[in-house]
Amino acid sequence: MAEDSAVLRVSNLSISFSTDEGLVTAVDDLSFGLEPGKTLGIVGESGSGKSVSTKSLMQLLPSNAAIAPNSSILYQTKQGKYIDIAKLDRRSKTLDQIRGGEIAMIFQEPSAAFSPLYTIGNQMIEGIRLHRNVSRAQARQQAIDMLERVGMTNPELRIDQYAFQLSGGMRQRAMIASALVMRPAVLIADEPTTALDVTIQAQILDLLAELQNEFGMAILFISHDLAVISQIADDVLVMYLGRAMETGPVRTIIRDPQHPYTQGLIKAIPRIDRLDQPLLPIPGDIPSPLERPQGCVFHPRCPHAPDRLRCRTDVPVAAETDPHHRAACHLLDEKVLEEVHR
Amino acid sequence: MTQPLVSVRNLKVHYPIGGGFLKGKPQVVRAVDGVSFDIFPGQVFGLVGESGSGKTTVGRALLKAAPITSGEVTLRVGEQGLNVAQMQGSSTQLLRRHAQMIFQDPYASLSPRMTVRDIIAEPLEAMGLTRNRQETDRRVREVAATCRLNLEHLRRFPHAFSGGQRQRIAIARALVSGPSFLVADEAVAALDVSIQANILNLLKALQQDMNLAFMFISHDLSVVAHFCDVVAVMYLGEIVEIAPTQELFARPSHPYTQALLSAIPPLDPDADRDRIRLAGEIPSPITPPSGCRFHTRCPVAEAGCKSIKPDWTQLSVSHGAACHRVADQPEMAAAS
Repeated sequence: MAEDSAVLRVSNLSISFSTDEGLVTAVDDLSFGLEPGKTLGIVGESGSGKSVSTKSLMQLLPSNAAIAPNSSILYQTKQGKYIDIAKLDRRSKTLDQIRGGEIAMIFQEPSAAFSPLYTIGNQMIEGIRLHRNVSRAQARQQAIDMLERVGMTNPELRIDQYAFQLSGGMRQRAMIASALVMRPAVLIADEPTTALDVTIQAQILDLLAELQNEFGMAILFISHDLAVISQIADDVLVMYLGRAMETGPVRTIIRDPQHPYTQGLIKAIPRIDRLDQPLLPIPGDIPSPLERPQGCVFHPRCPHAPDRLRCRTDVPVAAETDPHHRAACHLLDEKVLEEVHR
Repeated sequence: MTQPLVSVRNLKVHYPIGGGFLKGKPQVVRAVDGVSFDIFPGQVFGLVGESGSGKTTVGRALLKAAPITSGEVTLRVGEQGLNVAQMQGSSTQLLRRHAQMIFQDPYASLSPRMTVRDIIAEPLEAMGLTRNRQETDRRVREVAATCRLNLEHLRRFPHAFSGGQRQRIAIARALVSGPSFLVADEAVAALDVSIQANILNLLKALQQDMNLAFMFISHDLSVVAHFCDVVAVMYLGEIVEIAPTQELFARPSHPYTQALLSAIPPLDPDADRDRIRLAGEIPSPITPPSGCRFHTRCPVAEAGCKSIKPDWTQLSVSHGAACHRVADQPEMAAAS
C-alpha cells in the first residue's frame, strides 16, 4: 500500500442520515486514498453515495447526516501536518483553512456555485483574500491570471461579469479558475461535465488534465459516466448503494472487471464501437435507500446470487484479485472456500 | 415507395424577444431556421445537436407545442394528411391522438396527485376515446401490461416509483390513445445507465410490435447510435447532415458531425481516435454567423464559407449534408 504518498486517505467511512422514515445508510465502510498528481474516479448510479462521500471530505454534509465514529478522513496539509477531517467540528478554524485553501471543489452546476448578486471577480477575490494576505489589487491580478490560464477569452472583461452572463462552458472554466487559484492539494470534481455538451466536455476534460500536470494536485472525479472517468482517471472506484464494489487501475476495471455489478454496468453502456451488440440492462431497479438489502447490497440484481445463500446473508469483504485491484464479491473467494469444505 | 408518416418542409420557428413600448424593435431568436425531413412509418428518427441547436423546438413544433412561424408539417393519418401548421380546434385533438410525446424528467411529467391508473387513463377521457369506465380500465390495463408495469401498481401514486418505473408510466400514458408517432425528448437522459438500457429495449420492442415511428431527440450520441435508424444532426437551427445511423457513424461527412462524433469519450482509455477539437461554443441564435453557420468553429472553413450559405448535397439516396467542402473533398467523407 502506498500509505505514505497519499495526501488524503479515507478509512472505513460510513455516513448515515436520520430522516422521518428512519435512519438511512448513505455510505458504508468506504476506504480510498488520493495521491498527488493522480486522479481517482468514483463511478456510481443514483443512490451509490458517491456525492455524499465526497461532500464529507470537506464536512459539507447537511445537519441530519452523521459520520460514524470509527471513520477517518486523514488529510496531510501543505505544512505536513496530519488532520482527521472526520473529527473536526463543523465550525472549526482549521476547516475554514482546508475548505478552498487545501481542498477545493467544483460542481455540476456552476450557476449554483456562483452567486448571481456578485461578479465572478468579487467572488474570486473574496476567496483569495480569505486565504492569502494580499491586497485587493494583487488578488484581482491573481484572479485574472487564473481566468486566462483556464482559457477564458478577455479575462479582464470577464472578471467583472456575472456568472449568468457567461455560457455554460465559460462558467465551468470560471469555477475551475476560482477553485484552483488557491493551488489546492486536492480538487474534488463532482460531475463537472455532466451538464455540458460533448464538445465542451472534451475541452474541460483536456483542461483539467493539463492543469493537473502543471499544478500536481490530486483529483477526485465523480461521475455516473464510466466513459468520462476512463478518459481522465488513473484509478477507478465503483460504488453501489454506498459500498465500494470494485477498485483498481482504470484499464483493468474496464477490460477485466471482476465484480458482477461492474460487469453489468459495462454491458449496459451504449458504445459506438459496438453498435451490433444489444444493450443488456441490469435486471431490476436500484432499491430505495430505506430498503437496503441484507448481505451483499447488489444481490437482488446479481445474476449469480440466486444459487448462493451467502450473498443474501453475508457482506462480502474486498478481495485482492491482482495487486491494486480489489473486488467485494463472494464469487471471487468461492474457489478457495470450496477447497476448505473438501 | 412508402409514403412518409411525418413530412417537414422548410420549418421555421422564430421567437421574438425583448422589445415593447420605448424598447424598440424586438430581436428574433431563430430557434429553428428552415429544416426539412421525412419520417417513415415504424422508423426511429434521431435528432442530435448541442444545446441551443433547436432540436427540442423541432420536436415540439411537430406536435404543435411550439409556434410554427412558417413551413409545412404534415402528419399522415390513414389516407388523410393533417396540416399541423394550420391546425385549429378539433383537428388538434386528432393530432394528439396520433402523435404523442415522452419527456425527459419522469419526476416532473407525472402529477403527484393522480394514481398511476388515472395518469394513464387521462388522455382517453380527455379525448373521449372510450365509452365507459370498464372500457377505459381495460385499455389502461392492456397498455400498462405492454409497458411491463405491474398491474397492482395502478392504484398507487407516482412517488412510490423509481425513475425507470416512472418513465414506463409516462410511456404507457403516451401510448394509450394508440398513436403512430412519438416524440421522445431526452427520454432516457435522466435515467441511470443500468435502467436506461431497459427503457431503450422497451421502446425498441414497442416500435417493432406496434410499428411506431419515433423522433428521438438526444444529446447522447452513443444512445442515438444504438436506438435510431436515421440520424439528423442540427447546428444553430439548421440540419447539417442526415444519414442512416450506421452510415453516419462510419462516414460522417459534415465537419460538425465529425467533430461531434470524435468528442464522444470512448469507454476504452486507449481507444484509437483522432480527436477534432472544436474551439469555442455554439453562437447565439439571435445573430447567427453569415454564410455557413458553422464557419466560426469549423476546422476546414475557407474564405467562401463566411459569405455563401452551403447548399444541401445528396451524397447517396439517403445521405446528405450541407457543406461547401463535401463536394470538393470526397475523400473527406470516405476517410473517417
